[in-house]
Amino acid sequence: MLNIVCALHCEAKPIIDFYKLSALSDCVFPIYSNEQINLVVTGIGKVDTAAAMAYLFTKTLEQKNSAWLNYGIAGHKNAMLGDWFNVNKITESSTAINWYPSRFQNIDCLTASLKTVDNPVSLYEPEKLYDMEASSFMSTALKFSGIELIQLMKVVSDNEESHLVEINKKHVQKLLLKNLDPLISMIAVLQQHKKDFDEIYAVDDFYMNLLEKWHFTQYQKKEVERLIQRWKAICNKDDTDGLEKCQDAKQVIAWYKMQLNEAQVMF
Amino acid sequence: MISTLYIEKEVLEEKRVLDIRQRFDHLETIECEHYGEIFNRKAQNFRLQKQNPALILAKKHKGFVLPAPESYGIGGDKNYYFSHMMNCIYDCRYCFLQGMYRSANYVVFVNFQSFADEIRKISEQHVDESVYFFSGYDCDSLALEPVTKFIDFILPVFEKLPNAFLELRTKSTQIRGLLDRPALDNCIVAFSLSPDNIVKSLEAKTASLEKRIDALQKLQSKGWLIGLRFDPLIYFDNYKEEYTNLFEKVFAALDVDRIHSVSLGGFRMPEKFFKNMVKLYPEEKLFASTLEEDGGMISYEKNLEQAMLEYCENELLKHMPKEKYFPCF
Repeated sequence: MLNIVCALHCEAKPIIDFYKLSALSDCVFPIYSNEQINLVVTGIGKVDTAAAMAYLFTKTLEQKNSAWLNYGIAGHKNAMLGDWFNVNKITESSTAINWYPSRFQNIDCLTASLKTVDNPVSLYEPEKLYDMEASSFMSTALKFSGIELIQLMKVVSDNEESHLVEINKKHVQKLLLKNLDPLISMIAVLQQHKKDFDEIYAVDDFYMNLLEKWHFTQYQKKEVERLIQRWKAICNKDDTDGLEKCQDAKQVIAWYKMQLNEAQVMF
Repeated sequence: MISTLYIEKEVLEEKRVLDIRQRFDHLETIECEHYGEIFNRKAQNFRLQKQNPALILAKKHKGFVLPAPESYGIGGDKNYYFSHMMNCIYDCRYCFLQGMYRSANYVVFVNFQSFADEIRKISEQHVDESVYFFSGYDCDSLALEPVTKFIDFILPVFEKLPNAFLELRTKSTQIRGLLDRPALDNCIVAFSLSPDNIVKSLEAKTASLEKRIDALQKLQSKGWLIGLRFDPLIYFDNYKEEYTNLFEKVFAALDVDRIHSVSLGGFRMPEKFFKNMVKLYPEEKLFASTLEEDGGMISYEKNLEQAMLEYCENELLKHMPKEKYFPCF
């Protein structure tokens, strides 16, 4: 699953439409979903961002190590309005803490560092993006996932020549719709990374079948999970006749141990 | 090979950094405050990062040279190690680095002079003793030499320290810099060697056994002292045959008189690192073997380990004198 986080509904709208996301009912923070994507609209600022992400995580019964993407509008000293940036460094201005999202090789997009501020600014440092959510997004996402599955994309909505006095919904949507491709590409790349991750670390079907068939204590569950991994690495996976005859969890564990003791290790 | 360059603000303008940066001018370069912000942060996956590691250029502030672990030694009175780099460009599945570090990114400490000062200081403190400095503990000594040029820098330092010995530990064939200069009597170029099937299965991205033997031959012919490190020994069904063949092949290609030292060690790993490695590579054959914990260390079951070490020791000593043999167990 990919969890998308954005502050404003006008930012979310183009993606809701593009992926045909449906609204979940009775939500404290608006959530839109399909089978692959959840999107939460957080509101502006760090507190709301963290709260909405935690809400999304519990509300949708999300597992750890999903992919997370934050996107939205940002200020920049001299970049063109509508330019997309993939964020490579986030600095929280109030604490000076830095985060460094992983770099993906197959992203064709400008990159920049970003400063998260508590209030809107009109004076920009060169080559930096400004927003009010990214640091909170990053620190919260890292509670739920690894850094390799977390990314941020920002589109420039204001610069020194064109200040954003107040957010104009139509203007924001227009900026996004003008060029949605970088965002769509990032979503595809993140989904692929998540798929690659799951191929390595997803819970084993074999293990799940065993849990359905016999009752294991918590300790036995851990033990048998590792035994299956080892068995798959060095034993003949077609030879499961003895397993079928097991009466209980103890016998299952004993069967795996016996198979492993008899296994030949070849490189 | 290297995906991104992170540079600590403090070293941005250093000559060495500028040189490395020029070499990687096509890469995205990101300024950081301290390498630990990237390298030590929680919630990183070593295995995924290993696919696209970044290079971090940083300054080390303390702990330049440290006493080597007890079992480390190849005949010196005192043993120390130092790491101008953290992590390795290779991907050996038995390597403790993948269990020790959270990040697979490479860190290069660019203040080489600080390492040299400390090495000089320690050598002068033990002027009547032989002091060995091991450089390939947290990285491969030679693999990233074209980028770091650390060996190029440190060899002249050792040239002036008669009681100090440097061990370069490697699986790399980046030996051009060594071949192009006169050999040093107090530098040992030590190659880690494993049977061909282990190189192919467990030592991803390293030079083949043939190429390592070829590099050893070239170094010997240019007068360099060489070391052979059969460590870690890996168990598999026909290990006896494969290790016997390995020893025969290696010693047939080399002049035993110009071998400085040979060492042998079993697979062993702190339990904490091992658990991290299993989480990263749950499907790995090596970790599926019969291993046991003893005193916080994971190794092969005692009888098996003993049998392997005894067998390989006996086979080794058919090819070389005992004085040059240093078991690491």
